[in-house]
Amino acid sequence: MSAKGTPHGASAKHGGIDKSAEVRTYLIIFGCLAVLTLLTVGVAYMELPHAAGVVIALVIAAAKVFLIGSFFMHLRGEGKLINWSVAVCCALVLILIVFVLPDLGIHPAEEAMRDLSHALEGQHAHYPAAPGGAAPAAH
Amino acid sequence: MSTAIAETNTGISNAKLGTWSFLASEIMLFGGLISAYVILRSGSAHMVVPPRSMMGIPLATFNTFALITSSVTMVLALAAIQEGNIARFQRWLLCTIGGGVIFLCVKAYEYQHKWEEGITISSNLFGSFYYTLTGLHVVHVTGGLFLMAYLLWAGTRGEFTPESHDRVECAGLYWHFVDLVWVILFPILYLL
Repeated sequence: MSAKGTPHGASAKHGGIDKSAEVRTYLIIFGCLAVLTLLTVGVAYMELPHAAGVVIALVIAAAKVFLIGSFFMHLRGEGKLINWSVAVCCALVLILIVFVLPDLGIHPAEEAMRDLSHALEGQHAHYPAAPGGAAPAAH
Repeated sequence: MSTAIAETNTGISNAKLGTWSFLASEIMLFGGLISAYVILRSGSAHMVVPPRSMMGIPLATFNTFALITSSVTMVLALAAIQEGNIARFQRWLLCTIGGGVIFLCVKAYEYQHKWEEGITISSNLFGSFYYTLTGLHVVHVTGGLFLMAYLLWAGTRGEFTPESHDRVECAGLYWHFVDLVWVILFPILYLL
């Protein structure tokens, strides 16, 4: 609840707050959502590696969800009770997905760490061996 | 509205708290189905995803725009009633209903074509999830349209004022949620 007692971030002109500014914000958010939608479709048609495509599409979807929730559903103006209720629900849904993935042989955290260590090792391989030290292992 | 808020312990009107509780249960309903889809899509050999050319991405993109636009017109309708402008409120509400109807019409066309191309609810795991997820969403859109029609009717009877428009606010929350669900369904069903 915004402004305790004022509904929905309510800000009617009669309440002394300029409504046109709020309407302008809605239109800007609409523009952002439209651009993000086009971006999602554009990325899907690009020849990106599958994993990268999935990550980008999900990040864009999360950004759109954030914009709709924050501005259209006025969550940013709500109190702790509603925000926490929504956060707990989202956390439970994430648990439903993430905690089952290892059972499928998918270990997101381990894979991310492995990718990172491979990237770092690859970076080291570009440097000449330190005098007296062992040359970095090639992968 | 302000009187009702003053009477509650939480400082939130009962209508709004009830709506958010309902939406919380809806998050778990769609969340459960979406997580099942994601898990099976990642790990099941029975999940045969049709090629993109069969999925009708341009139509689905158009539908996404229709729903996003209807979400904006809904929030503009709320802004209008908060200003006490009934005529504008009804105009924006009609636009919202129009967006929802366009979405349903396109969906019906899409279902017919998918069915003809062999993507049915019993064709494989993808078909089951596609029709279950989008079908459940269509049920929600249809319910939302009835809600909007009711608001339009109540608006003509002069039931909403800048001080009392709880029902418009709660219906708006529901409609934005329906839009939000589609924003997630669109990439995971059509684009990935």
